[in-house]
Formats: sequence, structure tokens, C-alpha cells
Amino acid sequence: MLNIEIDGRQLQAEEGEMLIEVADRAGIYIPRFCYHKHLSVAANCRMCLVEVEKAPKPLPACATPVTDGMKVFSRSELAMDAQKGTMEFLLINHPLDCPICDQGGECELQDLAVGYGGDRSRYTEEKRVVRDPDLGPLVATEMTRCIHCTRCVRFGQEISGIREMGATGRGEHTTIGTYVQHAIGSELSGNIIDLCPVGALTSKPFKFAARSWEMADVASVAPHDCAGSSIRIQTLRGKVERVLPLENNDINETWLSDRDRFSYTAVNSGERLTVPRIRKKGEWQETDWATALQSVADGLLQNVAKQGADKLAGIISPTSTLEEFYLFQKLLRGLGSNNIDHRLKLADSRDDGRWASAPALGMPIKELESLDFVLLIGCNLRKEQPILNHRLRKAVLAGADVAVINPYDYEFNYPLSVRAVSSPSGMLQSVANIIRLLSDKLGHDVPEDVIPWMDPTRINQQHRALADRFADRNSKSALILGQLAWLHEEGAILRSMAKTLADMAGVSLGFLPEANGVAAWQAGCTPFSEQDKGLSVADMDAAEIKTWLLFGVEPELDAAHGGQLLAALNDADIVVAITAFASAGESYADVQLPAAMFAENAGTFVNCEGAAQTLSAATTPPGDAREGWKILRALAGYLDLPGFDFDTVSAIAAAVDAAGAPSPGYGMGSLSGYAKTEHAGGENLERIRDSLIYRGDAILRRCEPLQRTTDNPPPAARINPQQASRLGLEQDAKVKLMVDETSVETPVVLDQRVPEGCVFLPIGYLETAALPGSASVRLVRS
Amino acid sequence: MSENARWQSYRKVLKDNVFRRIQSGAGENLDALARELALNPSFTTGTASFYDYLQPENRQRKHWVCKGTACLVSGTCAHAGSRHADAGEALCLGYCYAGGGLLKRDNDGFSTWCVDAESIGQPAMPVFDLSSQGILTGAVASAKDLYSVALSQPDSIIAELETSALRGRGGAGFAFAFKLAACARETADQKYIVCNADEGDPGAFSDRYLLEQHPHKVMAGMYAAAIASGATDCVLYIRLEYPEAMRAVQSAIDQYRQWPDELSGRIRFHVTEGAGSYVCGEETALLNSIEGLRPEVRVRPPYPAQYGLWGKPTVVSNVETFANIPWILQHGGSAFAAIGTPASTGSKLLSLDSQFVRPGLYEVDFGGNLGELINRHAGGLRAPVKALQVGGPLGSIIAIDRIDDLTIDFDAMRKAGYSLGHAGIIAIPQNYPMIELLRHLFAYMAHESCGKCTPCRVGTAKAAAMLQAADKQPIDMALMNALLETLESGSLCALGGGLPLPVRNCLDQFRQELQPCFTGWEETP
Ligand SMILES: Cc1cc2nc3c(=O)[nH]c(=O)nc-3n(C[C@H](O)[C@H](O)[C@H](O)COP(=O)(O)O)c2cc1C
Ligand code: SF4
Ligand code: SF4
Ligand code: FES
Repeated sequence: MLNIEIDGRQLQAEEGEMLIEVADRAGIYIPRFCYHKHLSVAANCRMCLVEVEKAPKPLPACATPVTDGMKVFSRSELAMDAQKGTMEFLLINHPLDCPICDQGGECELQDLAVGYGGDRSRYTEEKRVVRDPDLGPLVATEMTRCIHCTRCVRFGQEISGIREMGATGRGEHTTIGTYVQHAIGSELSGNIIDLCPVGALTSKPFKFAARSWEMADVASVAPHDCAGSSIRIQTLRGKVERVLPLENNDINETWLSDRDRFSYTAVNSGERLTVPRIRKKGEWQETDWATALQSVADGLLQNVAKQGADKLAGIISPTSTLEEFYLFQKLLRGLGSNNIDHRLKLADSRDDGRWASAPALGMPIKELESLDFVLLIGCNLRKEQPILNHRLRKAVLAGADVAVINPYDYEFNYPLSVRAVSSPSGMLQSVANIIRLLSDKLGHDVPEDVIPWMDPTRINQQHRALADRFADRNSKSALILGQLAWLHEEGAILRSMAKTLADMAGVSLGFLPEANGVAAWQAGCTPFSEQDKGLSVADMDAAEIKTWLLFGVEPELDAAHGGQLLAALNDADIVVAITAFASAGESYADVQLPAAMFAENAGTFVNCEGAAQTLSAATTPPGDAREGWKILRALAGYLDLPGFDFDTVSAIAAAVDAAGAPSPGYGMGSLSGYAKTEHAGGENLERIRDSLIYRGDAILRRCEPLQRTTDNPPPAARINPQQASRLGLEQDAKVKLMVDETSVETPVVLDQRVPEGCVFLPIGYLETAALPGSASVRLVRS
Repeated sequence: MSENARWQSYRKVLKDNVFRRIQSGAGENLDALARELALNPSFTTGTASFYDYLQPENRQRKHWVCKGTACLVSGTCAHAGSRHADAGEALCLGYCYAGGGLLKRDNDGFSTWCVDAESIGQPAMPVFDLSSQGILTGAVASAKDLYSVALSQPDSIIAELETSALRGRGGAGFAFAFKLAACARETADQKYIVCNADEGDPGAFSDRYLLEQHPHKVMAGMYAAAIASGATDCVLYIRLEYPEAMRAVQSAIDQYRQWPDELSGRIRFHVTEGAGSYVCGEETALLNSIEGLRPEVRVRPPYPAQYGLWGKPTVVSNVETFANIPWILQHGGSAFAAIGTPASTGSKLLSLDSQFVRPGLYEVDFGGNLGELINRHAGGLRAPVKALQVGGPLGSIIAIDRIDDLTIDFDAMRKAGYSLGHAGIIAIPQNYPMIELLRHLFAYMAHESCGKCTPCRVGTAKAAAMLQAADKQPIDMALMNALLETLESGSLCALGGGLPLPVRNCLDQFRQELQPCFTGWEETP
């Protein structure tokens, strides 16, 4: 500990700290533009100049390490003159357009300039004219306002790992801009809006919407990532105008993914459902709540009486709140059905019996940073969970190894130590081979049940490298299964093998839940129950379910087996959709009940590490739309179900038996009941199923700005160029994709990142939604 | 600044050097190059756009006429420019003694010529040794011995250099042994010795002389520093405007490689060629340049001795600094310390431009009188002169009537309100307007500023514009002073921070001449 003095206050500091850090901790504000605590020190703006005893010149507080006994004056005449001098220089080139600038009211330059007694410079001369780069649909640019602090540039280099912003030219002609037209390809790009101290980079969706001081501000939790980032929701006269990150060092630090920053745009979507609707003779008719609820209750009761409760099923979106999950399952169970699920991405439910508790990360998010080795299986972490990926990136920069076993060669923003890319069935073989190598290394018996998937002739360098890494007992390692593992047609086998491998290596095994999935488990929105198990979402289609209760979902687009669910829904007697959007389920629903969405809804969010946080309502739902828990409570009343008399969300939360932090409780089990599937080849390609970052649920698909990013390509069947030439297909050729009797049409895109023998066809596209989920797809020119 | 890019660049290091690739790739597809090097296009584009010779208009050019300060004030560049209509501008080619230079590019690459080579041929650089020992200009009996003397006393090198009190010749006069010892103390898997051969100061040609005539003195100095600090790789960063120096160093390296393994096996030499940028002479910008990053100045701390080339401990020093080391090791540190003055030991090379009666390169012991050198040894001036620019654009402007009072010594010059810098000396003719000199200084610095920090990026350009308009719109002196103050106290490096000294020299000594271009002078002290 060192002792220093700033402005007469005695302060303690650590060796190696910069002056500004000590001042910030003590609440002494030193002006700054380029300094940011999560970015490297650039010391280029020269705004933070302070007087230091015995130093001949003022020194930059952001780049001056503390020394014992140092005496600092941040507001002495010398310091203030130096700061004023810099300020005045910055204003020379800065346009005086504050009245029309979106940064107005929260501009660090404006604030400081006013503080120094004037927002004009004594220097008069032409201002610069600078070309504005097009950064795509999320970030608006006005580069004449740029003060060259390079925060955005350093963010790209150091945090997002995508060097999109950069400087060109030199001296006065230096400009900050982008190199890739229309392409901020980063899933964290919105953060440069927060970082930019002036109005050079602002939010495009927010442009000219409101002044910061006019808006109401509510702290809440982001609903899409499973991280549960802390956010501020800002509203103007009840309309959600903006979402910003709130600092939370355990979760999102000061960052926010674009998905969580801009998903509010769906709240203001023109597709919002504002009144209950009933379909009569094929026509939608608006109605009041009493009529709608009565008709839903009548329908449900009649059908259950007629067909039995096992023909009733309910699917709820994983973005719902703990309280909604609880009431939803209570209602269905009250009617006698255990056919309840929120795991839309689940393709293979054969291992349902093995779950002891909710799938979760298995460690605090922060701890990802301290890992030495991570194997990701079926996981495009960068796009799946940008905030978690950022932590892992930090680990890599600190020397950790990250390896992947994936069905598509995803781009990561850090180097991977092993990149094992193979078909979905090949992934099983890879894991099996690694188990074999590792058993040999550790002197264990090779687990018999895994043997059918091993192929010693296919053992490769990557398998060896991974087995070696797992054998190293001195490193802190983890194995994490991502979304592509849920979407894997033989996911149960993959999970079982991963468990075997993790146990053998003695490493932590984690699963990435979707959004608030952990809360869904805790609240019982899974088909499991003490007595008998209901149907999981992967099996509902085959059971001739005639009565459906949907909550915030579009199963045909959300689910791994969307095609099957679409057919079942089209075939159903009654489909009740509790939804925020009129267009959701419009073609097959019989009743639509208008629901609130996040920002209008209070409740509990439990993130992937098991931390429960409170979602707050920042505004009220539009029209007659109501919070989900109120709808479910009212419906229960019409159904005469007991135990729904809750008055507040906190009363519901208290009723949920949240059994502490979830550990990923996946029980050991043998693969003996499972058969190895052989894949045909030829025109039959293995299907790689992904759910792209901005297509995962009903809310995201209605976020217009996100839909226009480069992360949302048009629907296509991606195949390897060699594969294509063998099949005689060229880029953009129209093809027919067939599973049994069903077929859909789509263009082909040639893509080197797809392994041979496979077709990459994500879910979430209306154009291909009808295709049933399956392990393989026949592909022919149409 | 960019750890990722630095790391990527480090992997290619000096073999497939990223900067060299960008230089040869400029003009073609920089995006493709970026992909090949596994870097983002912003990296290659950002770097290429920084350098004069990588600008689109310079890619097809064949001729560049010197427009350095010496050629500018003596009017030779106007004369040369008239002969090569399509020629670009070069910023000092080191032909100041011959009245101007010309840079040419043909199939054999770059070459430099005296501007009047067609009529008067290629005059050799006149060299005058006025020193007691001829440490820098003396002949070398055996090149190998320069190296073996270091090899024979690895453990005493630092001590001898400490005793010698050798100070850096690049401008700042920093104690060399201190930097070397700091680097030697670091533990690292790799260390570097870097020779700053970017000699950007217009008017100076002493480094050019050493590189062309005595490359082994320089290299052997680096070699000794490498042995003392545990470095294995030495890099010479040579400016593009010195192609002959580049060739001389390259052939010296070839020679070195032929020597027995005991001598040359441990330490490798590499060269990097500049691409036209004055700020690359600043040591941290120079390191970034070698790495292929944009050559913006780095924040210190960390200093190069801890975090230098590719983040490894590095000693960066000037050509002339290194060239002294073999002599020190051969004759002992105390013999060196006995030469010159107690604070500025040894001898110094001075470059005198063509307006002196005997222009050329002078080696003098520190401690001599400036007036005596100029009037007696250099034979005075050919035409009336009002001031000398000493030490380049960041050095000082000395009224001609002051020169008899000045001693050639780092500290004595500073005490008198001037600086010696790298000791290029340019005479400013009586009829050359001081306002033009100020305009030139600011325009030059605005052009050369790396643009990283606010005071220099904005201030140099602003002042240049104000001075340009000063005939019609006189400058408020209080504003000028505020601008100089911000430049001086706020700049990140000595480019912005050093400029106010010569400017104030002009304002103080030539007030009467400059008066019409300023207002409010009376009120300011
Ligand atoms: C703008 C600028 C340009 C410089 N140019 C040179 C140069 O051309 N050659 C040089 O040796 N030092 C130059 N320097 C000084 C270097 O930063 C550094 O101090 C020097 O290389 C250290 O070597 P020395 O200790 O041997 O002098 C320059 C400094 C600045 C600020
Ligand atoms: S755009 Fe904004 S963040 Fe980027 S350098 Fe300019 S002022 Fe800084
Ligand atoms: S003073 Fe000038 S050259 Fe030096 S860092 Fe600042 S902008 Fe760059
Ligand atoms: S905040 Fe210190 S120089 Fe910018």
C-alpha cells in the first residue's frame, strides 16, 4: 500500500495503479475522454492533466503510476489551465450542433465544456468535414463530432476482438472509421455507442427519439442471454426508447450484447396484440377478456373431459419469468397434464430421466475467466452467449486454451487450440474416440457402452490433443455444451458421452440454458413429476395432442422439431396462444390472449449460474394486454382451479421451491439402450441445425434493426463446395429439401465451413419451417 | 495498443515482417494481404495510409526533390523542382552540404543524387575531423576487432559504458548505460537492440555518414549492447530516403555473416526500411513501425527497456550513440570520459549545410565554442545570415550574434535557452522572412504529427493555418502563447512538446521583424 494525496485528501493506493484509478475510487472526478477502466490506457486525449508536486509539467492522471508520498492537485491553476487548453483544442474541430445531437445531455464534451465556462473556442476556423462510415443498422455515425479518443477502436481490438473501427491517415488528417462497409459483424457492437464520449457514435434505432433527461429510467435484467445482464430500461411517456447496460462486475461488467440492447425494439412492434381475439369460422374476431377466457376455459375443460388430460400439452417460452413458469405448469398440472416444456431447442429427450436438476453453467460466470482449458461441444459461444464468450476470451488472452467440437466451423474472436469440425454423427465419434484415448492414458477400462461409437481408424491429431489436455490434472478445466448440443438429433448420446468424459477427466460439466431456462426448471416447467413423466417438447408431436396451450412461443420457428409441431398444431382441436404478437400463431390458433413482454412485466430471472434477479416493469402493456401471470391467474379462475390466489409476483416467487443454486445435475447412465445410427450418404445429407442469434424466439424475430444485421442472412441451405460440385449444384441453385413426404425449397449457398456430407439449415425461418426435424435430409435440385 | 495485432505481427516477426509486406503490398489489394496475414483489413489499411511513400500519388512517381529546411531556406528546392515537373517532395535527403538532393526510383530501387549531379557530378561528403581522437570519423583497421572486443569482456561492458558517461546522440542526451542496464535487468525469453537510423531532422546527415562509411562501428556497438543485455536480435531501422546507407549496412551484415560462428553465431542483424514519416524517429513510434502497426507514439511507462519491440525488453538508441561504443570498449570508459566536458563526454558530429564556406561533416570534441567552429573552421558564411537552426525542427533557432557565447555541450546549450539536438546546422539567410520559417515549422509538424494526442494533432494544424493567414489577420499573441503552452504541457511526445522551443526562440529574438503578424504583443510579457 502506498500513501498519496489528491487535492488535500490522504488516500491509499496499490503499487502500479494509475492516479485516475485512485481518484475514481475516492470519488474525485478528473475529466477524461480516452480513459476507460476496461480498456487499455491510450493517454491520447490529454484531458486528465493534473499537477503533481515536483513534476515540471502537468501529467496525465490516466497514465501516471502512483508513487509513495505523491502529492496531486487536480484543480490547481496549473491543472485547470492545462485541462482548459485541451478542451479548447477539442472544440476547435467540434461542430456546434448540440441542439440536434443525440448525445445532447449525456455528452462528456458538452458537460466539461460548460464546466470550464464556455462551449466555444477562442480559435475560429473552418471545421473539418469527415466522411461518415456506414456501420449498419445499429450504430449511427456523425464523425465530424469525433474527438479521436480511440475508445471505439480499442474496444474492437481488446473486447470484441473484431477490429472494425480503426484510424487511417495521420496528423490532422487522421480519421476514425470502419473498413468493412455495412458490417459491424460484432455481437457486442452497441457498446461503442456507450463508449463514445461524444455524439459521433449513437444508437440508430434510438435516433432523435428523446433527450436523455426527459426519460424515466428503470433498472432491470436482460431477458435473452442466459447471463442475465443488468440493464436500464428508459421510457418516454410510457414508450420504451432505449436499453443500456448497468454495471455488474459479476455478470456483464459494463457491457451488453446487441441482442439484449436492441430487443426492446420488439416491444414497440406494430405486430403487438392489444385485444383478445377468437377465431370464428376462420375469421379472427376481437373480443373482451371475459368472453375470451370463458371460451378458453370451456374448450380446455371439454377436450380434457373428452380425450383425457394426456392429449393436452403446454409450451412456454424460456424468456418468460419464474412466476409465469410456475403458474403455467400449475395450471396444466391442475388440469391433469404433465406434457409441459420450455426446452424448445431440445431434439432428443431420451435422457430426460437423468436430470437431477436444471442444466446450468456449473460455475459463476466470472469464473470462466480463470479457467485454463475449456472444451465447447456444439457451441457457437460468440453468438449464443456474447457476454460469456467475452469472459472466455479474456481467459484465452491470459493464456487459456479453448477447443471446440462443432458441426460447423464457427468463427471465434480468439484463437482456438483445437478446432474439431465434423458432421453431427462425427461429433459423437470424436467424443467417443477421446474417451478411448483418455481411458488408455489414465489406465481406465474403456467404457463398454461407448465402444460402438468409437472408431480407432479415425483417431486423429485433434482427438489426441484433446485427450492430452484432459489428462493434465493440473489445469482448471471445463466442458460446456451449447445450443447445438440441444439441437443435435442424437443429443442424448452426446450428453451421456460428455458426462462420461467429464467424470473421467474430473472436470466440470456445464450446459447453456436458453434465457431464463433455469427458472423454468425450478418452477417445474418440464414434463417431469414425482408420479409419471409427461411428454417433452421433442415428443409431443407424435402423441396426437389435440389441445395446446402456448405461451410466448411460435413452436414451428422456435423448436428443434418445428416441422412436426407445425403439423400437429395445424391438426389440433384447440390452440390457445398467450402472446404479445398478433402474428404469432395466427394461422393455427383459435384464441389469442394479448400478453405483456419484458419491460412491461415484473418477475424473477435466474441466470445460468443460478443467480436470481428481479425483472422490473418499466411501462404498462399496450391496450388490453396483461401481464402473463395475471392472465394465467384469471384463466385458472375460469377453470375453477384452486391455489391461484396470488396478489403479487413476489407472492408467487415465494411459493416456488427454489432449491438453491442449481448444479448441472446430470446423472450417470449407460448408453446400452441406444443404437448407433448409420447415415445413408448420397443425396441424403446430415442436417446441421442451428438457431441463429437473432432468430431464436418470437421477440427477436420482430426486432427490425437486428433483423437487418449481417448476422441474419436470408434462408438458405449451406453446403460444402466440394459436396455441391459432386451433387452438380452451384451457388444460389434452388433445391428441394425432403424429409419423408414433406419438402421445402430454398437456395443453396456454398460454404467452406460446412463439413462434407452435411447441410447447414438453421431453424427459425418461415420459408423452411415446415420441414420436420430429423437427422438427415434429402437434397435435390428443384 | 493492440495486443492482438502485435501478437499476430510477432508471429511473423522479422522473417515475413508485416511492415515490409504492407510496404510492398500497398497499392495492391490490402484487404487480401490482411486476410493472408490473418489480420483485419483495418490493420493493413491503417498502417499503409500513414506513410508518405505509400500514398497513392507516390506509388507511380520516379523522382522526389528535397524540400527539407536547408533546401527550402536556401532556395535550392525551387531550382530543382523546376527541372522535374512531376517530382514529389522528399523531406531531407542528407545532401544539405551539396545544395540539395534528388531521390530517384528505377528498376534497381531507390537512389539519391546531388541535385546538380548532371552538371557537377556526385560530390563526396566533405569530412573534417577537428576532434582529439577521431572516434567517429577515424579509419577502422579491422572490423572484426570491433566486435571481438565486446565478446572478450561481456561482464564489464555496462560498467565501462557507465564510466564513459556516454549520452544518447539522438537528441535527448539520455545516459546510454542506464537504458542498457535496465534492459539487462529484465528477464524475458527475447530481447532486442534497435538502432534508430531514421535521421529525420532536416539538415542532419551525420547518421547517413556513419551508416555509409562506418557501418561496422554502429553494428559493433549494437552487438556489444546485445551481449551485455542478453539480446540475440538487432534491428536497424533505416529511413527510405537513405538507400545508399541501406545498401552499405546490408553488405556489412553479409560480411558479418561470413565470419566464424564464435563471433557471429549468437547475434543476428536485421534491417527495416522506413516509408516516409518523421515521427518514426521517435523511439516508440519506431517500434510500432517495425511491428507493422500504425507508428503512433506509445504511452510511457512502460518504457522500451521493459516493453519494447513486440513487447519485449528493448534498447533503442541512435546510430551515433552506438558508433561510440567499440572505441569505449577498446580504450576504456575513462579514456572516453576524459574527452569533452564532464557532462557531455566524447565527441560529436555536426552537419553544416551549403551556405557555410566549408560545408560538410565535422567531428568535434564536446566543449568547443560554436562561433569559433563556424567562423574559423567552417570559414564563415557565403552570404549574410541572420540565424542558425541547430538540431532540426525541434532544436533551436539561434540569432547569429549569439553564437560566440555558446558552447557545444548538451547542458550549456539548454541553459542558454537553446538545444543541441542531433546537431544539424542550417543557416537562415538574412533575406529569408522569419514568418516563413514559422510557417514552415508548423506546416512541417502538422504534416508529420502522428495525430494521436489532441494538443499536437489539433494545435500544429491550427497554428499553421493561423500563420498562413497572419498577413491579413494578425494573430493575437495571448492566443499564440496559450496554444504553445497547451502544445508544450499537454503533448504526449517531444514532437508536439518540443516545437514551442524554436518557435519561442524566433518570437523572442526576431520580435521586430515578426511584429506586423501579431497583435497584443505589448500586453504579454
Ligand atoms: C519527433 C521525434 C523524432 C525523432 N527522430 C529521431 C531520429 O530521427 N533519430 C534518433 O536517433 N532519434 C530521434 N528521436 C529521439 C528518439 O525518440 C530517442 O530519444 C532516441 O532514439 C534515443 O536514442 P539515444 O538515446 O541514442 O539518443 C526523435 C524524437 C522525436 C520526438
Ligand atoms: S468515434 Fe467516438 S469513441 Fe470513436 S474515437 Fe471518435 S470520439 Fe472516440
Ligand atoms: S505530440 Fe504529436 S507526434 Fe507526439 S504523440 Fe502527440 S500527436 Fe503524436
Ligand atoms: S483520459 Fe488521460 S489522456 Fe485521455
